[in-house]
Amino acid sequence: MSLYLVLHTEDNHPTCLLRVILNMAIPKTQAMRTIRRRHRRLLLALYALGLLVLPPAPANARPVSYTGGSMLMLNSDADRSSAAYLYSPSATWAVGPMLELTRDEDSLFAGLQVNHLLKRWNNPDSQGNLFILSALGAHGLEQDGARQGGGYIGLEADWENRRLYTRYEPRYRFGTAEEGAFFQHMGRLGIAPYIGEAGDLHTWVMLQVDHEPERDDQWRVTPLVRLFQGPVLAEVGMSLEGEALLTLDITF
Amino acid sequence: MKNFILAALLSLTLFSNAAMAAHGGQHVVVGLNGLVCDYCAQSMKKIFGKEPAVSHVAVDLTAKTMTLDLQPDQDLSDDAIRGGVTDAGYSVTAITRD
Repeated sequence: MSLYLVLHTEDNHPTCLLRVILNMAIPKTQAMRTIRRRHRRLLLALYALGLLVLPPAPANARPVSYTGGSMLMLNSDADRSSAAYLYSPSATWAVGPMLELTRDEDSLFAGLQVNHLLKRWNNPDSQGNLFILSALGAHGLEQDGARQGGGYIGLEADWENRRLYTRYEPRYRFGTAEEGAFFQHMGRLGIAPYIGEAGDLHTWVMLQVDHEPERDDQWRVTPLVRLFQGPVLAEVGMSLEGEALLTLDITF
Repeated sequence: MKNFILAALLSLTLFSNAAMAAHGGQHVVVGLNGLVCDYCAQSMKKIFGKEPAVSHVAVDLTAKTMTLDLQPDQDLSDDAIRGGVTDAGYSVTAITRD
């Protein structure tokens, strides 16, 4: 269901992740544009197939996995769609490529993401984490093919027990195509309507608040549902303005 | 009749013990801190599922424990268990063996 939503929602969401893949895979000469057009459906099919045949492996909501673990993370919201692969050589580091399409700017960011677990508090009934998030790469504009360096650096602080979830994530983006550098903030509160055991389907009802001081609509509030079972985490939400939020994380 | 029932129960007990011995090894119960979600359970299963000495991994989120069934004649040291739990990103509170 989540895969279907990622690929088929309306208002440009359906093609965003595909465009990320296509824009990265094929350069922007005229000849390549033609090839890209001709093979768009084939690439779409391969991309969808790749998602569908992924092994039902293990999940992240966290930017660092266990030692030797890998994560595939797909996300789409009102502003951006992204795809990332992360590998954790240890329980405190994760590194991997990422692609992110900023819809308003029609720009594609391709870079290397490095995340670090600064501190974890393992308590008897709860866990807290403090992560550093970072990415460095290049932004490319769809219209003229121009490239410029950019990325982001941020923090993620979270705390959860089996009933409650909280998260705060400030992030500083730089080198973006139109806005240059700016801060963004994201906070989440969640509650589990029931307590699941290992292997059960876990459900969370969450409220996400985004704040970007540089944006016209500085605040965005998005209620969402998180479903989590075994290696797969999926989130579906819709902002109060009617913009979709979709997430699919698979850990393996 | 009473003797027959007693003999049957005794046989059943002996058979059960023999079956358990044939099945294998030790059961190790590991108490854990930070075990709050299914993701934690998945991490433990992935880490300890790779251990040749481990035949089965079970995680109980409510009891905050992981139970490792070891292969017959195999052992897994406390240090190895603590190392695996650290690799998964969690911490050990106790290790008990039967």
